[in-house]
Amino acid sequence: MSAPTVFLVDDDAAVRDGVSMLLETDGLAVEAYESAERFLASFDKVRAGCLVLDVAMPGVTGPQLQDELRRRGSTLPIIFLTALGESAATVHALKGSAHDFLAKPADGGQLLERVREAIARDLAQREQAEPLHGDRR
Amino acid sequence: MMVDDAALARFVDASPNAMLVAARDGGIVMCNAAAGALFGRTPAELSASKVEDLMAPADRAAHRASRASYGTAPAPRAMGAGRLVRGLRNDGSEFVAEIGLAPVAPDRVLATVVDVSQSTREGERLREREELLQLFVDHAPAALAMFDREMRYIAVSRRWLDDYRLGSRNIVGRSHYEVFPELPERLRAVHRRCLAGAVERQDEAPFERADGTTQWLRWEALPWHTAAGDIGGILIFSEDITDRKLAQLERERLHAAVEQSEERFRATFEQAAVGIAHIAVDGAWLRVNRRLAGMTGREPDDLLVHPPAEIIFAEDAEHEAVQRARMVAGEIDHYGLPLRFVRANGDLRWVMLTMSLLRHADGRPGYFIAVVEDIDERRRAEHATRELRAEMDRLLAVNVASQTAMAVAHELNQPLNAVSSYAEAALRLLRAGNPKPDRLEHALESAAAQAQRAGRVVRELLRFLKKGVVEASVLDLNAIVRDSLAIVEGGGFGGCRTHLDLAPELRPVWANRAQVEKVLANLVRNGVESMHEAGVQPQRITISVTTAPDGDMALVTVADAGPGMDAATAARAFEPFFTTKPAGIGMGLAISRALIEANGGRLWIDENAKPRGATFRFSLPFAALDV
Repeated sequence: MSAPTVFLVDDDAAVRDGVSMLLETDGLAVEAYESAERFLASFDKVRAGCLVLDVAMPGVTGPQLQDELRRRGSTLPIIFLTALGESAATVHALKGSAHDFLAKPADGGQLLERVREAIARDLAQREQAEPLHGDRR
Repeated sequence: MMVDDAALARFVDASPNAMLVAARDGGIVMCNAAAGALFGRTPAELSASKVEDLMAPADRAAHRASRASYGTAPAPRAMGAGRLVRGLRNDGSEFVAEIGLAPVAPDRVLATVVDVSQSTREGERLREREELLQLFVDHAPAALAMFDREMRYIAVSRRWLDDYRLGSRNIVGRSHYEVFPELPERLRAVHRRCLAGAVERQDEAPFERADGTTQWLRWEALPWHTAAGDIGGILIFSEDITDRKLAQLERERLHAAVEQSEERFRATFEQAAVGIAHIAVDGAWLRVNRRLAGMTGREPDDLLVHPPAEIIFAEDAEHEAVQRARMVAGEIDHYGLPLRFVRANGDLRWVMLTMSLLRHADGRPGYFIAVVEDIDERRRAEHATRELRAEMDRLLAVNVASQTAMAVAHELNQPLNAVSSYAEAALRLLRAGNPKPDRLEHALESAAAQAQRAGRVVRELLRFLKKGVVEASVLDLNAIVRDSLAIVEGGGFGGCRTHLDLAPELRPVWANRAQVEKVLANLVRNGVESMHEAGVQPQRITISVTTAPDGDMALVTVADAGPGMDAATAARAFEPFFTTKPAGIGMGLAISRALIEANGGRLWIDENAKPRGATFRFSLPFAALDV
């Protein structure tokens, strides 16, 4: 198993660049995608890490990507980034989900903290599900 | 016949009739006893006389002349064919004598003399009676005619000729059926029955004349009898009652028409779906219908004792009175007013009153005609609708404010999020001893740029809120489309192919660059989302730039390959908060349209663009040439 990766999906180029830089500065491996479609095209569920996901995007939206990943059997933890422009219903659904949720503009320190928690959670659940792979980490 | 005197004398003597034989000069040469008796003279006296001596003096001259002419061409003249003369007796009395003549020898004329005084008097009396009868018939104020058994006219009154428009034709002796070929069989049957003894009459009978007119007649027909008691023919009395009958028919027609119109009026009045009333000039009800009474919660009879002034709600009465006065003054010929009726139970009811004024022929006001419609429910519904609309407007205003705030938050939070990330990264780089100066520089530069971006969002918003104050400049629309698409593509439209169809020769437009970019981004985003929703592959968007057909504007078309919009969706597409997208808030198209219109252009859906997909078009004005 490769090192855990932070997958970043956001249609805003500046957000991608800024968040990527922040995560990389903290020593994390980051892969940024401009759309859910691009992300799905290269998605491999054996890769560990977490997904930092913008909610409102043209094309496949954040929640739709979440559904698709669930359908594919992925348990990759997701940290949703909302720009507060989402409808109340969407926000409500997100809050009720098992995933994390941060409002833009997200505090950098807080984001890093959540990302590290999510990665740890992912690694822990992969350990549980596939203990044989545990020593390969 | 020529005889000798002896034979002639014997014949004359033997005749029981008075006979004389005269010579050419009028001298009497023979006579018999009967002649002597007739003239009251002896035979000797007679023989000494001339025939003129036996006549009344007045007839003598004429007789001499006729005797002279007779002498030149003597011929027998039978009794009854000759002229009557007045005979003169010896005592001076006269009698009417008829004379038969026979030339019996040269210069000898045998005259037979008969006293016809008696029969002449009867004849004259008969003639007189006939003349009187004719006079009576002629001048009878009735039309009457006398027919023989063959229905030939025996006598006819002038009035008959006049009534049947026969003019002055002499119809005596002609057949009734020849005079009136149009006479119907039923009347011919009447004639036959009367000839058989019946008496018939009819007080009113139409008679269709040959000229197409109809005469109305009152007639009576009866047989007349000869002295012997036989039926000699019939008499018909008739009276032309055409004028009277036509007048009666007209009266009946008018009466029926009046009755019908009264009936119609009554029905209209009573069964009208609206309230109707006649109101006297002094303001009293003259007539009200049930519907009107119902609007006041009363029976018609009850309403009549409560004049309009009591029924019309006091607050509305003054205005109504003003209008009524204007109408009486002739300023207006009718008026319509919504006003309230006070019902029997004190409730108010909204009605629409339409008043007109019926005037007499001389222009004086006659009475008012009020038509009243119950608009209470409508009025209440309108009121409820108004309240509901106000409530909705209020909710909508709140919603618009919150939606706008959210949209603004989204636009601001994107760059702020980037700034926050860059700043946090820079901070960490510094804390780590700035191992990568170029990274630090990039982080700080980017943070500054994103702060500027946030500032632009705010400025743009303020401009938009100021409405109509658009900072415009001369722009190359081709470049804007190209740049916008680059921005959009950088913004994550994975898998969507775009095709640009630019117009390099296009004149520059006059518009706000950021706003046009925003609209382009919105439209492209819309297209991508709809194609994605519908699972369309491959996703393709075509953007073309042209000059509008009328040449005044530049035209940009954004067409996708998605499912397009049905008419209902297209009709509502530009409404605020209308969306078919699960994640959308429905402001994109509404804002886009507002932005394009703020730039003097139009944004619309081209529903005719086929074969598939949604096609949006927007226009922008060209920059003036001297700019």
